[in-house]
Amino acid sequence: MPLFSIAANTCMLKCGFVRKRTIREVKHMGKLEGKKLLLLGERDGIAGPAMEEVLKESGAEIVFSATECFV
Amino acid sequence: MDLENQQRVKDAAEKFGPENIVVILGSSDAEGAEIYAETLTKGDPTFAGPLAGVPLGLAVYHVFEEEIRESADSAAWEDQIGMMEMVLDPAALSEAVRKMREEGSKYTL
Repeated sequence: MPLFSIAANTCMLKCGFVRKRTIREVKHMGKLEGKKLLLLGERDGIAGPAMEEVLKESGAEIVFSATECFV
Repeated sequence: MDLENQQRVKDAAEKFGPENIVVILGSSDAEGAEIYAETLTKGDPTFAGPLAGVPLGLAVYHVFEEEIRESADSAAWEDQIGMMEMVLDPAALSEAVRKMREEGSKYTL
């Protein structure tokens, strides 16, 4: 019998006791959570799509992203 | 700042409320970043675009600032931004935007 059963979410100790394990869901609540993001990138700096990529899991909504260039 | 983007920012502020908006800049030079930040907080300093005389006071940050970086995906950061971070001057860019934010932003993170 395995000492640890994921399905039952319990841990069977060698002495026979069963200890319930608490699985903590660690969710990152960043400062951007719930915000509306406007991403103003620059071609010679950080472009809009690059910022979109790094911030898409931040919990914020990306309203628009643009990349300006100065030529 | 591009006139079309000024209008998009203005529209977004009206639609979602300025307190809910965070603008993130990817500017390559500190002077340019400061002008962007000024436009988004105090209004367009050139008086040429839709934000002329419109002090939205938005929360504006450079992507290199710690508040933004800590919310970013670290693997994607290395892929997408890591190289430019070595080429540009993150400290100067962050400082330029922070300074203007402290002067003109009504909202912060």
